[in-house]
Amino acid sequence: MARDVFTVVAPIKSSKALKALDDVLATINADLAGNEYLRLSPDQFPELHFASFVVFDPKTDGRMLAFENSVDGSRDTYLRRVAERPGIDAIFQHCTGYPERPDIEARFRFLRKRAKSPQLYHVSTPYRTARSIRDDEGKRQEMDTQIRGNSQLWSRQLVRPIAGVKQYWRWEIAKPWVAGIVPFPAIWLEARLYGSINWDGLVWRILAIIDMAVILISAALVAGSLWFGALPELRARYRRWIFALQVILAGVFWPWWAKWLFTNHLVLAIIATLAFTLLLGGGIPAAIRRRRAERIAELRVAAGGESLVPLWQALQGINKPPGKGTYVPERPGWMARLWNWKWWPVPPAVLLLPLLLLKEPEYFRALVAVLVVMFFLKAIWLAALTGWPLSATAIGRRTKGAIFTAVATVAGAILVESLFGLETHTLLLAVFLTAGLFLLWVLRVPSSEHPSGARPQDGLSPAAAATLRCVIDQEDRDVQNHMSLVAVVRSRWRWWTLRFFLFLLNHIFYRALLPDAWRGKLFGLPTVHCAQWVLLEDHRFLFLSNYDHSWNSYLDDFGEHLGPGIQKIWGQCIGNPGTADLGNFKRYVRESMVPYGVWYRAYPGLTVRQVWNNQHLRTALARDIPEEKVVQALRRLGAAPKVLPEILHAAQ
Amino acid sequence: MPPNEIVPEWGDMQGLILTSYPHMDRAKYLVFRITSVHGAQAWLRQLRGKLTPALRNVRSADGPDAPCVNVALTWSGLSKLCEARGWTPSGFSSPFVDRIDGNGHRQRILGDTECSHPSRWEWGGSQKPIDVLLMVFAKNEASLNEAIALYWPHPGLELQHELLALPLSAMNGHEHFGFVDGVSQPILTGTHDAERFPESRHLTALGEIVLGYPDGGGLTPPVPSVASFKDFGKNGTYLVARQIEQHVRSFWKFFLDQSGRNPLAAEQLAAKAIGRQRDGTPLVPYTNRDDNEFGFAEDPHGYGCPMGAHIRRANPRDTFDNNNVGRANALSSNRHRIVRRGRSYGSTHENDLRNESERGLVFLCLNGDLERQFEFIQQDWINNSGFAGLLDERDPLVGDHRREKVFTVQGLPSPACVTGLSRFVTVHGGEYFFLPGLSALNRLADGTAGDIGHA
Repeated sequence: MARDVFTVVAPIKSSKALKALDDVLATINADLAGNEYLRLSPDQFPELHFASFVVFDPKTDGRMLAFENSVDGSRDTYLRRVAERPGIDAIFQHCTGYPERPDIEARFRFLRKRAKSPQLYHVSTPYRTARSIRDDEGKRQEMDTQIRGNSQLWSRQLVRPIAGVKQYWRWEIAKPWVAGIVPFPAIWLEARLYGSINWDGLVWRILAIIDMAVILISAALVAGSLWFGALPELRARYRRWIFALQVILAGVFWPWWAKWLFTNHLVLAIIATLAFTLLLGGGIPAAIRRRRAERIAELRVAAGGESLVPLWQALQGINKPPGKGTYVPERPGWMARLWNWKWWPVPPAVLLLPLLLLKEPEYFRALVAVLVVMFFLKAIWLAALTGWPLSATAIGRRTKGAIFTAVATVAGAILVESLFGLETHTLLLAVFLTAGLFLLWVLRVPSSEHPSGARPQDGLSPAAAATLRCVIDQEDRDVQNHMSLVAVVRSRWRWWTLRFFLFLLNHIFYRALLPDAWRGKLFGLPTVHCAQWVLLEDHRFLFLSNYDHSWNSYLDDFGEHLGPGIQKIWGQCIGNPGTADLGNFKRYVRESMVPYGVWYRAYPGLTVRQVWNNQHLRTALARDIPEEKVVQALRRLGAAPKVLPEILHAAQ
Repeated sequence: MPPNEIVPEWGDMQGLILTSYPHMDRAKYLVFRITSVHGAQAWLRQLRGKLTPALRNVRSADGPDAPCVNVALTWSGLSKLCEARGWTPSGFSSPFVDRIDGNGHRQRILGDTECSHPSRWEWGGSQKPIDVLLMVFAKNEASLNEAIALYWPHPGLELQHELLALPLSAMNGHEHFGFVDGVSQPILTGTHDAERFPESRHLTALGEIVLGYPDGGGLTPPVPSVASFKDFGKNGTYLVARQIEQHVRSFWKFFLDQSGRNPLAAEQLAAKAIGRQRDGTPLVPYTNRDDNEFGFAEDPHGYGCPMGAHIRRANPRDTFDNNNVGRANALSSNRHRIVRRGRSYGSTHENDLRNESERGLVFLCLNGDLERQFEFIQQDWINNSGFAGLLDERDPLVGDHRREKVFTVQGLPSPACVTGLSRFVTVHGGEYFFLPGLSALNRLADGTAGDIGHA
């Protein structure tokens, strides 16, 4: 079921009304489920994920009440249910425009009229309902209890040797195949294209001889690591060197040698390639079989010589939803999945390859045009987010994005040039690029001065300090935290630019091209449950976020990983010092924050990672999986494991 | 060192920054309140030239046998000394100004709740405010007392609390629970160790610990100033002091109960909670006793060293990735390091579990940014119930176990849980201090800039 994220924004009548409103909100927040005004609990509103009431700018005439919501289904159904509660009169009667004698319809009309859709929003689990997330957690706790109760497993584990257990060597196993097969079509193509050049020189022969020797060493290393398991210490210490050597050998020397062969002896070359591949990768099926057997043996030892199947079946019994078949989490539809597919350039590229050979001009050109445009779109928006064009302080950290964009631009330009020549397409592309770059340039200029001219050393005014104390006091009572922030956009012109930028970000990039959208990450950060950016007509800019862990680490994440991208959004606001100096930026954010009046969350104590972990666990349990994989699922009971390849790659 | 690089002014820093004085067997910590500012100024003048500077080559200023002395001030102490001269200190870190028990939030993130609540403390915090910390290190007890007699009693200072550390020789590098302590320390750039181990993962920018130098991000944050003395904070650092009682008896009783009264299994289980064997061997596979360059990526599932083990929480090393953004690197984890300078106190009945007299650790740590370092470690790692994807648990050793009381040991075939953990440590006192550079102290003592460093 799709999620609806919106905020009801209503101005507050007077400072007197504000006081009364504060009391009502405090009463509600003190007892969310049992208060007399608006009961917020899973029973009352099963569709509600997060909700909050925040009073913004209480000291000024612009004081307003924001009612943040994140619900399953549509806002109409939900707001109607809210309108059925007469208790909300106590809240909204302090707002201008609230009907004098409210009935359900009048209340609904009021709420509906003032409900604002955010310009940009994020939800970590866009297809899951609050009910099923809570259900997952309940089931996981049951399973945990069952596993914890199994003291036999426990005591055996302690007397086991402390050393860790060998991991699957997925990449190492696959590498020879990849190294052997991937260059094959590329080299063949190259050989065809450049076939007329004479490669038969002395240099090439020498290179080929060196290469043969090195390939043999490489093969020995790979084979050694596969067949004999290598020495663990050697593997641990020198893994990255072995890996680097193999990549260099496979990537650099092999194509040279192969090119020479292909040009001169095509048949021989094909046979050699196949032989090379087989030599390096021939033992793989056997290796996998052996590892699997070892794995099961290890497991049986750990479980005291018994099979894990009974334990597994018991857990599967818990996992079954009552009265239904197997567990199926709510998922995005196939269209959404396709749209958000990470490897979307692959099918066009695969299609492109035979066309390249057939040289069918019409299809070919159309396909290339589509591919190039999509590629540019993605490249530019990725660059926008990672912060290109670079700010001076970000060089080094942001090089990846810059290199990616530069390479994409050059490659795309060359491709287009070679295909179409300097024709209309190129011109269009140039216009598109220039416009994009201009937009990025406009957005990256930070606000230089603090409105009051204050410096970080000067500290806060007493009123600001009191607000900040309230904000900080509300934090870290749970692993989930709430953040509400108000900023003012610098000018009308920037307001429109920002609106346009957020619109593009929300629709084209965030919903369509970024695969994170349904994997629960906000631009790669898996710690935000629900966040929304609301741009108001009076230049105010609200940010409401429900996130995991401490505020400091949340800001670190944004500052360090998305600094320039965030700068593009927040730099439009008065007083923003830019993200180059994170300490200064944090100070700005702290000053702009306001405490919440009421905050409701449907599943407190759960981090985004745990929500996904529970889903993965239950999905795994719903299937019959091979015994050696049971452990992978069981691991999720103790902790949500970090995605492994990322850690391992960081180590290599 | 490249010519354009800033040369650290070692002679102006206090010695504690570089060393914990391992050649000094005895140590005593005294905390004072200032009752007369003039007395305190006279006292600081008396200390001039006696304080041990951080000399790279020499362990102690006056020769190897002379006692070492260092002094730190709290915010209130600093304010009193400045007020007397009509100066306003500015730019000091906000936790330092707020004090260690500044608000309910800080108590929550540091875990100072229930029996560790600041209202029960013997010293420090807003209940029992203190101004000055004097740390004296000496070869033996006689020389220690002799050294202390030079500075105390003194008019204008009122002793609030004193703590005598146990002789280093008695503890032999172990803390009271019986585990080797203080193994992992950051290696500051510019020190001898940094030259000896240029590839170490513990290499940390000097500015991470000492103010006035480039930090791990390459920037030099502005240093705190006092009136017109803009460089007041340079060569200084923030010092966190906490008196932590260790409940050795309940610690071992708990692990014995959990492992069916089997002492061997109890020791294994306790090792799991800490992440190292008693002798300091990390539980991460392919490591040995003296190896401290290991990373946790070798043990991604926590089968060796559990995900929630103390050493993993205190410093996740290469697996720290800012809440799992997926770009782990040791560099960003070295932006959250602290230099630990603590010593044990109390009775030395290491193996006598029936003995219930108080024993514990005088936890001293140095950091350049309280929020990003000490408090971050406490909040985001030690007391974070969602650390590394764990569910509802805190550090098994020093965590603030209020609700959760759980510790998960990852393993085969399934993870297992230890439940019913209690607090094995209680905080009895603590405060945030500033450990100023020597010239800054001189300035406070007599109102002149003083000479930089020592002859």
